[in-house]
Amino acid sequence: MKKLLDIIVRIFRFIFFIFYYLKELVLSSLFIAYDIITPKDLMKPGIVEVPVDLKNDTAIIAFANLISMTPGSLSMDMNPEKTKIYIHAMYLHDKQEFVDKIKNELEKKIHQIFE
Amino acid sequence: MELQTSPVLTFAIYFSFFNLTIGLFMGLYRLLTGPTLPDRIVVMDLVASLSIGLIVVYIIATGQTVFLNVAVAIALLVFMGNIAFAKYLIRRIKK
Amino acid sequence: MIDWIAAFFLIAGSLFMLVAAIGVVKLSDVYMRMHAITKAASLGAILMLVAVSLLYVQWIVWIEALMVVVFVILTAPIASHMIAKAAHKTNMPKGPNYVMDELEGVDTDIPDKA
Repeated sequence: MKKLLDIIVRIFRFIFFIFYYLKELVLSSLFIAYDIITPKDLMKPGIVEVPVDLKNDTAIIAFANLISMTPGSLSMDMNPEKTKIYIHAMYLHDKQEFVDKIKNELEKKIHQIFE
Repeated sequence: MELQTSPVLTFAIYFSFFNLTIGLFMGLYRLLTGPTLPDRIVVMDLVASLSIGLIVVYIIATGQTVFLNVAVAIALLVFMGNIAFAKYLIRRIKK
Repeated sequence: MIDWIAAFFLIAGSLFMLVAAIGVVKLSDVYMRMHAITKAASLGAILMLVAVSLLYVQWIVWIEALMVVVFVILTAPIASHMIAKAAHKTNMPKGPNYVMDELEGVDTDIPDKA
């Protein structure tokens, strides 16, 4: 019984995750459209290393895709031990803030659904 | 060409054709002047998305829904092409 | 009524694609252009396919449009990941005012098993 409940909760979280993914896609497209259309150039790009605590391969793929779809970040590379991911960020005003945002929002969601 | 659609949809079709054509010419500019090889690979991705859009607008203009198969094929093949180009770039630097 | 909604989706999708094309011309290096392609162009394709599936109420059209949407959503980030990795490994020039680059000089090759 507890197992069945767990599966149902997982399915609902997965459906919620699809909608979250689409919302992030729309938001990031609007952000980048605004950046392209306005002529001023305020970008501070940089490449940041973020530690990853996920074990499952499917979870890592979903994490990389979700990073690419959030506004202003793009996953670039990963080390062979699958413990660090390298992210290209468009607005890097504060490195620690960016890393915290990735760890607390995105990785927590992936951890709840896929592991 | 006389379209059999309502006036709003006709305007939308012509406007979308215009936008997509301008986009194709911008891609052509970056393809000709792009300083490095990855810039040109990025243009390949852009042209694939633009041609999916062109197929969609053509379907709405003529009513021939068979052409959606072409969109499926393009969406699959471009992914293969991107991966192949990336592998080729990495292998070229190793030699 | 359905014509108005479909026309709105068509125009929005083609405008997003035009914005992606402008971004490819305007932005300053490969990685920034990849940002424009993988987000704006994918969303443009998805919006236009929504317009088609609103206008033609047939199962085969819906299934094929859904196939294209799923392929685009799943494969666009992976393709941009591979190209950005290859571009960084081959030392492509980066644009101005970069803050930091923590991938510089890091070896991420998978060692050969043979």
